[in-house]
Amino acid sequence: MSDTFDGHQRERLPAIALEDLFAGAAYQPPRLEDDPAARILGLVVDPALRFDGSAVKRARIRAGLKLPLLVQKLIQRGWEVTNSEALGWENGRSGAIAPALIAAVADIVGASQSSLAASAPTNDPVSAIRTSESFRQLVTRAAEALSVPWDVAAAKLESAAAIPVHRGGTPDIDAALQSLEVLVEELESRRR
Amino acid sequence: MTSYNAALAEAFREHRDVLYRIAVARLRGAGLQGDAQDVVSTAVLSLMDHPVAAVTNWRALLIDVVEKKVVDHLRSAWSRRRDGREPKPDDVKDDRFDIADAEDEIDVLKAIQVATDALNALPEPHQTIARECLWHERKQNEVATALGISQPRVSQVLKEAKNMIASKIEESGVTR
Repeated sequence: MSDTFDGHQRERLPAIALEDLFAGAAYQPPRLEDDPAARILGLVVDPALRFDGSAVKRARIRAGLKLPLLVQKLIQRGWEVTNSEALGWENGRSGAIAPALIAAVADIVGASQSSLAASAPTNDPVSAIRTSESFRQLVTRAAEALSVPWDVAAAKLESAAAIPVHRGGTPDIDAALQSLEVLVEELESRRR
Repeated sequence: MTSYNAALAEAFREHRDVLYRIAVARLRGAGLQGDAQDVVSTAVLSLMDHPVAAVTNWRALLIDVVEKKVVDHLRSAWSRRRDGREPKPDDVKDDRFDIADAEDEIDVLKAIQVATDALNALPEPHQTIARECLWHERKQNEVATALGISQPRVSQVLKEAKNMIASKIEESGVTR
C-alpha cells in the first residue's frame, strides 16, 4: 500500500476490485445481539433493565394514547412488539428490555427515559462482568490493540461476554473474564 | 418528536446490513475486511458524540460517515505499516480485477447491486464459474475439478465473466 512521491512516502488507498464488491454482497452481518454497534446504541436487550410498568401506564395515559396506538407507533418505528407484550410491561411482567426500546416509548409518550426504566431484580452475570475492574482493564488493552475508541472496544468485549447468556448458558464470571483475557491477548499479538 | 439517539438507533437497525457491506467491500483491498465491525462501531460512536442537526436522510448520513471512517481506518493502517508496527496481511490477493481507483468516486452500494445483477444475468458456464470463484471465493482448481474441466479453461471463462460484469458496472455510471 505504500508508494513514493518526491522522495517521500505517501499513502495510497486500495482500489476497489470486483472481488471486493462480491465479498461485500456475500457478507453476513453479525446477529443484532452480537453487534458491538447495536450494543452501543442500546438495541441489544440488557438483562439488567426492565420497564417500570406503572410509570409507563401513567405516562401513556397522560399522553392520551390507547395501548394499541402506542404499539402501532412502535411498530412504525421498526420495533417488533405486540399488544400483549406492551400490556405485560404495564402489568409489571416486563422481561429484559433493550435501552433503545425504552427510549422509543419515552419519545412517544413524552417522558424521560429514566422515568420509565427499572432495574432487574436478579443478579445479572454480564452486568457483573461489565462493572468489574478487570473488565475495564481488558477494554483499555483491547482499545489500544484495535486502535478504536474505548466504548467500541467495550461493546465488542461485552458482546463476547454476553454470547453464553444469549445461548442459554450462565457464564461463570471468572471463566468469562479469563476467556476475554485470551481474546485480548490474541488481539494484542495480531498488532505486534 | 423522536430524539436524536433513538432515531439513530432505529436507522442503524434498518440499514446496518448495507453499512457492513460497504465497509467490507472498501476494506477488503487492504486485507482489513475483518475490521468492518470496529469501523461501523466507530462511525456510530462518532454520530453519537457529534450529533448532526435536522437529519432528513439517515441512510445517506450513515453511509457517508461509515465511508469516512473506512478511509480513516485505511490511513491509520497504512501509517502503522509504514512505520513497521504492523505487517501487511498476506491474504490480499494479487489477481484483483480493479474497477475503480481509490481516488475515483464510486457508489459502492450501487456497484454491489449492479455486479450482483450482472452475475445473475451471465450465460453459462460463465455464471456458474463466476458464482463459485467470486461469490463463494473458491479456488479455480477446485471449481475445475468440480465441473470436470481444466483450470486454464476456468481461468479463461472467469476472465470473460469479469469483463462482462465490469462492462455493466461501467455502463451503470456508478464510477465518476
